[in-house]
Amino acid sequence: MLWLLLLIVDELPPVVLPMVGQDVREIEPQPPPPAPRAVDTVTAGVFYVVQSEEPLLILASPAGVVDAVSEQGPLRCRGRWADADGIQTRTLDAPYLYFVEPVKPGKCELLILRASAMDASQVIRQPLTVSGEGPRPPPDDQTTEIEPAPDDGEVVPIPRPDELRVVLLLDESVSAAQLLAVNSLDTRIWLDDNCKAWQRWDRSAIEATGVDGAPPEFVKMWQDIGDDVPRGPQVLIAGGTSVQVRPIVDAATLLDDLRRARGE
Amino acid sequence: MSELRYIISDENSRHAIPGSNTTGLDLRERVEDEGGFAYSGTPVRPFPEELLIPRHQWRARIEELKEQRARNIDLIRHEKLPHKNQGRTNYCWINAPVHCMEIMRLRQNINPSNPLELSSSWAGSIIKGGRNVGGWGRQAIAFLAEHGTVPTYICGNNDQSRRHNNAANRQTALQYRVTDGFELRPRNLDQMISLLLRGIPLAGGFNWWGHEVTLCDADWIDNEIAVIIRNSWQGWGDFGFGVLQGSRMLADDLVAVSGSSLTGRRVQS
Repeated sequence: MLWLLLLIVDELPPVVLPMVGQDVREIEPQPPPPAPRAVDTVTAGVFYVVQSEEPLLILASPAGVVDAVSEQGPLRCRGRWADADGIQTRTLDAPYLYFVEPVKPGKCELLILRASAMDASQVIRQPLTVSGEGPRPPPDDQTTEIEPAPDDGEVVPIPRPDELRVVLLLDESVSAAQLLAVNSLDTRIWLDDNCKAWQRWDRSAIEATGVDGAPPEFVKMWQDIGDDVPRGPQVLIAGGTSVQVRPIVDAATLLDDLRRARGE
Repeated sequence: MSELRYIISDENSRHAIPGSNTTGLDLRERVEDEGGFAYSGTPVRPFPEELLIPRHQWRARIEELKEQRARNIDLIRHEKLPHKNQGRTNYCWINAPVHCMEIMRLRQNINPSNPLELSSSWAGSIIKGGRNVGGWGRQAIAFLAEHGTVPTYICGNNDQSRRHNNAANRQTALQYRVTDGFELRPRNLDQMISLLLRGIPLAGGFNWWGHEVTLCDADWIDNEIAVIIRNSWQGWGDFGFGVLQGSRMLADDLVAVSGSSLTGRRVQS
């Protein structure tokens, strides 16, 4: 059965899950390098991304343990990743991206189905465990929320919605639609209502004079990813330790990107 | 039809009469290379030709800006940014560029929910050696790019006393500088409207008026292009706003502020 699945996968554009190598023990003689295995743990605040050249249907069984949020690639993100230690900036080049996000602690199986799949044998199955606490809901005025202490130091909590920090980065290539998106009062009101802080920067000015006077968290963000931000108008959306960089297209797309980042 | 009541056209200039208000545009000392850009080494640049917006697009873009509430007048009303009041000074030529800085700082969201007013007289009195005399926008923007100005909580908007020109205030002023700006060719409607359609405010000095005001937005009134201005006269216009039409809107002195320092969080409550 496994060889059949591998054969099918071989003939189709790859669906790429986060992969890590197996543990290697220092013994003699050296065994052949271990085959990489898909990461089987999803942690709050850590990117777990499935990349694909074609649209996928992603389900979880049982439902309610994880959620898969689709995005269009290419997409540049900075943060912690399921298949690596530390914080990294990566460009996800595949046109179809699926961010697997924890809903609550528990175990489930991810069922990945290509749009072109003809039968159930083509389903890719990946067991997953959601570790630690899931994302915290927004505070409820009616209740007093006592935040539990983390079980261990490994859990990075997903940032609360009011921790979004946004930079609208423009340059002189900005189009009429992009300017409307940035200057629209609707955009401004959304940013005021939903962000911890936001600013608009002009690239020519920050290249000439730097960003030293900006709030420290913005300065840090620019130090970390400024060199990697593509040319052209971009929106930088930071939450906790991760930063998403998206091109500004028009008002509807910008608001859509912001709402998704906030989890709406 | 205009949404504003104060309309100054070739046929009707009654709203331009100073009355008890002062003006202050003085182009006599201006060098003859206006538009020739003597600012090497400052962030103020000649108008880049690639920013020109063809005339046939003007009307549609104005309508889009109105529909999306993306004009400077929409932003100013929403944030309740007061207009400048030059009082008894002849400092219109510095009030207009400083107001451009205030608008761009709103756009950049540098002082969220707390529009910061900047002093015109602090910079103006240093430029003019404490004298209450006229000047022009290019003088102002060159100084604002190099030295900046201070918030009004330090010395108000009209205090021309030289005692405020001390080391501490000069250091503070460096946080409030023009970081990006343009000089336009005098009476060049295409350059002027192209920047206004991009949301970049201008300081425009008018020989016919002897006065300099802030140009906030382009408008389309009576089937032709017009300009929404903001004056620095107390009690003038609708929240300071009015309209210039026809040849009245062609400014003889034109500078634009497209960026201000990202600093300035030291706001007194």
